[in-house]
Amino acid sequence: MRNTTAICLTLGSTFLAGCAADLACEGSCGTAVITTTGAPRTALPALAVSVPSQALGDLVFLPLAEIGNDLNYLTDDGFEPRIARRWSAEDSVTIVFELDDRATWQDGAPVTADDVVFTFDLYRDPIVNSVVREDLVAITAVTARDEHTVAFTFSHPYAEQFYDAAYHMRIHPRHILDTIPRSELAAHPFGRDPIGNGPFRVARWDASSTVELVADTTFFLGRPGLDRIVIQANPDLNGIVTSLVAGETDFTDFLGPLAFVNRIREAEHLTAIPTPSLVYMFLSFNFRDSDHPDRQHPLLSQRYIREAVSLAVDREAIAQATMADLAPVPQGPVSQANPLWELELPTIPYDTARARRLLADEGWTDSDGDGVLDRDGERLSFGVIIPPSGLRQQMATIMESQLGALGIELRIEQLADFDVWQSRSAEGRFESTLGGWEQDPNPLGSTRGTWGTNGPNNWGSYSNARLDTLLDALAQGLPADQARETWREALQVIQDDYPAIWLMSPVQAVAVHSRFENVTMRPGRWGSSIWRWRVPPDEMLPRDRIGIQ
Amino acid sequence: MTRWFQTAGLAAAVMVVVRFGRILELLTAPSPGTLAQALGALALPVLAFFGWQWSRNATGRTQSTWYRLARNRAFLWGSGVVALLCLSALLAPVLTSYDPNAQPDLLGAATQPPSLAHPFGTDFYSRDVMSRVLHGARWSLGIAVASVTLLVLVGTLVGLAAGLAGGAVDAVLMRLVDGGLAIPRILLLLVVAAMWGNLSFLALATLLGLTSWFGLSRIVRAEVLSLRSRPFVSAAEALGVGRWRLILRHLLPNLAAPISVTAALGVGNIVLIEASLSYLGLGAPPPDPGWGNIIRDSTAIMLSAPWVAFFPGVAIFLTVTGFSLIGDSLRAALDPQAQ
Amino acid sequence: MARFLVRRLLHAAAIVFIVVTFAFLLIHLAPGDPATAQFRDQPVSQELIDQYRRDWGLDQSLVEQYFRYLGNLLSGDLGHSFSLRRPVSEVIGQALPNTVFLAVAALGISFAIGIVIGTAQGATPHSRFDHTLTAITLAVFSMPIFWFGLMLMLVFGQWLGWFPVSGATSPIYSALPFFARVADRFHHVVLPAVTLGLGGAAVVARFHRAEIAEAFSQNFIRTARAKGLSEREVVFRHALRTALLPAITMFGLSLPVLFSGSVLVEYVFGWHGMGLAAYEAVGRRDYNVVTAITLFGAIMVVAGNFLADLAYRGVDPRTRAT
Repeated sequence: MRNTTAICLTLGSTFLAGCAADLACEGSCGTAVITTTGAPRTALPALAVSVPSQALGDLVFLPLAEIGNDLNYLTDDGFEPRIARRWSAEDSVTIVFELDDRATWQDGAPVTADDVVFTFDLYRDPIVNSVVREDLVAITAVTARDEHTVAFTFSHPYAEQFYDAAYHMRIHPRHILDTIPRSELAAHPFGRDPIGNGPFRVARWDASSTVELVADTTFFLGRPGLDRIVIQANPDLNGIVTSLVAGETDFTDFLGPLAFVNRIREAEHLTAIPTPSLVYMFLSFNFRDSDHPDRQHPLLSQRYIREAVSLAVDREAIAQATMADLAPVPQGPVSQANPLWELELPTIPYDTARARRLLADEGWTDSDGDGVLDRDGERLSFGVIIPPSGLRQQMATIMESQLGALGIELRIEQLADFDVWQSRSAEGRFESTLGGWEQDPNPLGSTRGTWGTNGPNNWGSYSNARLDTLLDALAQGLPADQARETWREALQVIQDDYPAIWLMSPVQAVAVHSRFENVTMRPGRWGSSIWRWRVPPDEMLPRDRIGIQ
Repeated sequence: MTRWFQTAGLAAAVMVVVRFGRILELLTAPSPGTLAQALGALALPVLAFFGWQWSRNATGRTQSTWYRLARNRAFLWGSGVVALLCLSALLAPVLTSYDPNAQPDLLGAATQPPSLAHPFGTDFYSRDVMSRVLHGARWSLGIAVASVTLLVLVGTLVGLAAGLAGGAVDAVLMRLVDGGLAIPRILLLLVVAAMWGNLSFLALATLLGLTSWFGLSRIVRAEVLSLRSRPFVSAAEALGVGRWRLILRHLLPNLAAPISVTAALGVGNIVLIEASLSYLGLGAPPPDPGWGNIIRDSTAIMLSAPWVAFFPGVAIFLTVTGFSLIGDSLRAALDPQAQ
Repeated sequence: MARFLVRRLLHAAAIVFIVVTFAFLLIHLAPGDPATAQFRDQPVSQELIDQYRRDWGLDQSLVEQYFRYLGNLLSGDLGHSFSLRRPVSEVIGQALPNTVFLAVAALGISFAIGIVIGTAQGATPHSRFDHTLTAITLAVFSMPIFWFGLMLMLVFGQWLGWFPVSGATSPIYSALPFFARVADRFHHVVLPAVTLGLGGAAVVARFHRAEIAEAFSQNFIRTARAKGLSEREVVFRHALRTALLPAITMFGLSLPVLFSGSVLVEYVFGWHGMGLAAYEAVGRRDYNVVTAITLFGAIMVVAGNFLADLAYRGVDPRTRAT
């Protein structure tokens, strides 16, 4: 496994060795205005699905320990203490955490072992149905030993135990949430007016999706380097970039398109930081007929068609046109910041000749001269659903043209809202969908969840028994060498089945106003480290001097 | 009018000369559709010539509506612009050699500023913007014409029904019309388009037509009521002339004025609304061009390639202007009091 | 007058009732399940969906749901916005001031520019100057409003950098001192208000031109001229005063137009008002918000017509007599 390049991002001339936090801030300490394309929907991490919701949860709630920016998940190396002050492995299936007795809820109550027990119960509750619920299956019990000691018991010994215990869950307040029925949690006002244990508290959340957070000056790990964070949602990326360039806002992270990255690079007061992301984008085929889920899709369940379609797409050209050098092309469901990126898989070529031959061999010809191949009256045509995203629309439009050149018709259906796209994808109401997954540092959970037969996010109903066996073996825990080979085989199995076109793993284009110091960020998740950013007093803008009111 | 045909003939002749190569290319193409377009292009200057001849000899009664229209500068300008746009839509393949959806050189020829080869520049995908605007006219104008047809049909029928039937039918229909006029139209369209997903050409035209007739039905009803109160209609009714014959004989000719004005203004109006819907992401399915979604697609590159958004906007603007000029001059020419 | 008022009010109530019914039917007959739609950005279990159905009465028949909805409306309850986790009344309460501010600014621009142009034209009807201005106002009126907004944004927001390109306020608005807030609001409103108002200015100018021209041809102006008042005085004293009354009627009638236009303008400029709230709610299938805003728009139309009627009757002696 290699270390990603994103261990520590440095800005301007200030290089902070090891990114040590220097939070010498007195008086007013700065404001960061953050814009996101989607609006956060809830501040509760257990309910969060989208990136903005997760980021908001990261600002308000802490985990037991925070994963390092190198995203190591095999041991506790790199994990920093948060709610837990220290931890130790009692035996091969038990990890004991000792909580920091300084940690308090924002209403003054102490954070106790009972909160951790409650949190685990919350995440595992089928009614709550958290997205990480399945990642916690190996934890059999969480028990409070005393007020500040809590023990995690695992079903079997494996390497990523500590990661599973610390990474997925952010600690929720039992003393407030246990009176709320779980079924009402999703709609409960606590989701937008939370009491957390993190560096920031929600001060205001209005209906236009602006969330204002202020620093908790009594935060037990030290006063946050910023006074105030304003998160503003703007579905229009053009507007986001323009207000960044105009200096009205301070930070955004997004995935392309390139035109925007270039505008940020040209602005003197902005620093564009290409961060390797945990995101990979793909066009996922639906193996089932979306109108009759009990039937197979007449075209896309055929391997040779999926292969031909994959070969007919010039992925390098798509990546170049939309993101230039910022989006390497993956050969399977892997992202740049993921250790699996280093496994060298065979390249899926752009080979229109072979694609043509595959189709011709099966009897596909353009018999009616309409430019689309057909066979027995059936046209080689399928739809793709895309969310309202500039990058994905560009990718789909280019693919439409490339496939069209071979007589394969791709019908683009652009949905009016991201949420609608997400639910249609999740419900399998599509022929193909242009998705992007943000993986966890440990690729196993997301790989099983997305491409495993019973995975909750296996939108296209792909199923391969061999793959499931391999992933199960990996879940049981394997020695490093063996794990590596098992992964290689698993990815090869996926690649050979062509369940999707692996389009790109775009760099996270992070744009930050250059007055900020201490800008560290772990790939894809800025929320967990932003409390350490600061603005040097001599570079403060008027908005930095507002202070906490 | 004579000048109008002179200008049109000259423009058509220039077009044939400039695009002669393309016309030849299309003439030799196997497809009957392109053949017809090429022949149509060749026929244009000839048609204009006959039009010119006719307009020189046509004296006409000075009282006729046509005579008045042919003297009206606004009408001549409006009809000129509209003729230009409609013919560009019909003859798009003649006027441009580029396929509107083809991406000839994704990496090398994207977002080129306007040049001789690409008079309107190229877009993000290296597609020719002029070709997209011309072909987009087919979608945008086509939708408008189709839905205006529906608008006129439904609006006239409902107005006639309400006006002739009177009583409860009238009351119910007119309350419905009031309701329809009270709903913010863009919101209504947004809801319907978003809920039913990607709309086809016909579905969108139907939707736009079915949400635009309220105003016309009111006008028609008022016209019917006022006609019914006139002596000659009551006389006809008393003489036992059948109700339907009565409508055909007397009402429809009198309705021609409000209907044609509404139709002319309606086309411009619907082009605007359709473009707005497309801009909000509910128009022609990509990659097919419509004026609204060319603009929508260009917002991401607006700063580096403003021409992509500029030209379709101008096309919409010309359409709406052209049709309002026609509508206004029709109103003036057909209004009996204006004589 | 009292009878007229009662009749008009009943009429208005009937229209609002029809709109509510129509909006309710449209939304409930549309494909898609409102229960699952409410949980779009959340992981949900089937139990939770069933619970939601029971809690919000979605398991009842359409008729039952309709009457319950009507009952709630009459008691002033607009329902709950699931996607925003708050009552719909709060959503509207936050969006409405923004929309009203934008509409008032746009109306101000419409009338200021429209009356100036209209007066100038009406004073010299059928001159070359008049025809040029007519052409220009027609051109402005023919522009797609969102395109016009984009072009203004490009030139004045991005190239020249004079105005912010999106939002009704700065992100840190709530932390600003009072005068900075006022300045911030006005700085943000310029581009959207010009976009929204200029089309209206063309309409106002067109009507006003006709009014002024008519007023000019009337006797009292001739009398005034005969009395030796200067041309300027004639225009501004008499003609303007006479023609302003219909303009006020137009004010009532243009409210709903502003509302429709604001959906697009608010979208272009990321202006968080009713229009953008409606657009976003449509995307998220937040039915209660959509219905409430549709209803609100309808009330605006009806109220605008009503006021225009009233103003017209109150002002013009000829209509009062009938």
